[in-house]
Amino acid sequence: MNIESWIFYGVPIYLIVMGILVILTTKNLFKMLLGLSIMDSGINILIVALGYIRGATAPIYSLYPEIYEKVVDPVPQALVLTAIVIGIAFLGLGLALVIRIKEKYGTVNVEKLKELKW
Amino acid sequence: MVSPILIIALLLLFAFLMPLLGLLHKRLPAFATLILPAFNLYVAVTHFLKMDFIPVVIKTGGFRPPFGINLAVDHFSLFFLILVNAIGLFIAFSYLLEEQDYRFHTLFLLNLLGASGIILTGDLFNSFVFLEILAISSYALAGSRKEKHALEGAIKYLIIGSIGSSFYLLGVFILYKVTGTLNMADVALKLQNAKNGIVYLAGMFMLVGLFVEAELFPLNTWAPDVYQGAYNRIAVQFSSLISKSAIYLLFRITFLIFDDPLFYKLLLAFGLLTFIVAEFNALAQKDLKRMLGYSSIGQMGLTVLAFALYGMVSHPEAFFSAILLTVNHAIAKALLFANMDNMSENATIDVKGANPFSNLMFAIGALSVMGFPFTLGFWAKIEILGILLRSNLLVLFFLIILIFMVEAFYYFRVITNLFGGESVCRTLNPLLTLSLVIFSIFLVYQGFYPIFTFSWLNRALNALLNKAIYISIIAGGL
Repeated sequence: MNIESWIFYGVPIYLIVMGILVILTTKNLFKMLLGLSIMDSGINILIVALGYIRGATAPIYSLYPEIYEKVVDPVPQALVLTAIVIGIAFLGLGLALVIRIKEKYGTVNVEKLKELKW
Repeated sequence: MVSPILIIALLLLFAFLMPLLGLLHKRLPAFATLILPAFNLYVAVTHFLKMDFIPVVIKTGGFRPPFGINLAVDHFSLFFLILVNAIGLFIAFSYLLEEQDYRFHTLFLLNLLGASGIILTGDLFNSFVFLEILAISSYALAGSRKEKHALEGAIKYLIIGSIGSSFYLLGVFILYKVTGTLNMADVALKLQNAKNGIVYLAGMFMLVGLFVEAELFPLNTWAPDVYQGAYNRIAVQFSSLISKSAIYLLFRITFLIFDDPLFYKLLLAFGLLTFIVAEFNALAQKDLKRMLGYSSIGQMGLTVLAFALYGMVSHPEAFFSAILLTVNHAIAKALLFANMDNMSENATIDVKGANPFSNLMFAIGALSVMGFPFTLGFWAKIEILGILLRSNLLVLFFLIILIFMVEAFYYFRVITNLFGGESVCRTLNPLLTLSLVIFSIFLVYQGFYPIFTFSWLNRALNALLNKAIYISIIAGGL
């Protein structure tokens, strides 16, 4: 493994681990959702990194074949777009739920929600 | 025959037409919700009866199967499609006159779309998308009741569920990196003789995502809260629709892609743990719905345990009992949770029933979950015990017998309470009662004479077991 792949795989894995740590350690539901979002970004970056080919260009159709002789794998990029949209959907829904919990309990602290047993 | 792709298209179309239909007439969304599962059921049944034993591939976007996204339909997926849509029809029909809010119907249809999509698709990334549609709509459904338990269950479910599905996505992409394809059959073909550590890692990641939806230990802490807090119809959906489609995907990818003794041992361990922990927890519950929720989790554990026994005994009867348990649990739990509508709110385990008729139906559902003779559940449970005895797994045999007794104990406690006291006579919802009667008659009739279920189930099982045909038709049949 050269330094490049350490960065490509290290950074997203760091983000994923940090996201999970945030979820596990924080007591604040809002911050928990932020942790989820960080983890999601980490996974998305990791997936794009999996499809990267050194020195290749973006997978865009071109009239000059020599340009797209060497392109990065387009499938992860196309699918990460879907994953990003899905991530936004769950984040929005989660925030809506947190607002409702705040209305009902007056707090977003996990420990103060009586019934919440992890 | 109508193409199964219409199932997905029409569900999606109507899910987003709901606000418009709601404007036209306030009862229109409920009727549209009734028609769609019925249509899906028609499509699934006609395919099931007329199809040959080779899977049908439905191309989308005009690409041949290893490329593009395809739907792969065989008897196994059709069997689960029928099951899921029958439950959908049950819910839509039973509560036809109750819910007026169109938003609710949108979520219901999206949920059904996710479940049907998971079952129909032959593509790994596509299965992730449908899993997410299923999950996001069920988070919203779980939190739709403005009640403390429901909200807490929903936020817990959302956090655990989205971690799970992120890991599922990661697992899918590791498989993609290893094999260079996302088509399930093609992945299976390329991994047939080349499994290594990284593939197992991908498998574990995918299991994390599926364990959340299938309510398996240790990722099921959200489930009891959701069951207790949500409306009864949503509890039906969780126990009989959402978890069943997740279990389909679990069966499919485990047998198709990660078909390996190590994997089955892992599933066996987690299934057993889920079963034991959930049934003992159910014993300790005071709230009736929470108890039923724990019992649901326990049944899911038993289903996975039965499925994973295949890795120990290499006999397809293990799959047979797993699928039969799935069917039995889906129908019996739908009966039990829907029957909770006839009882008082926040019913405890010493509830006095609504009236003798609804008590009887509760009893039939409970007996079938327990596996009492002359109900459908009996055949499933006797099959598991038979496999264990024949393959000399005696420790497991006695352990499972013990847990069955625990299960029987807490259900009989509720049944004796129901029939013991004076029951409060409530007026029953006629449509709900009708569908409850149909389901309970089905359970008892199939308990006496299970030929119908068995013959359909055997066709589904043949389709699952003929892995070589599935792979060669979809991945190699160019």
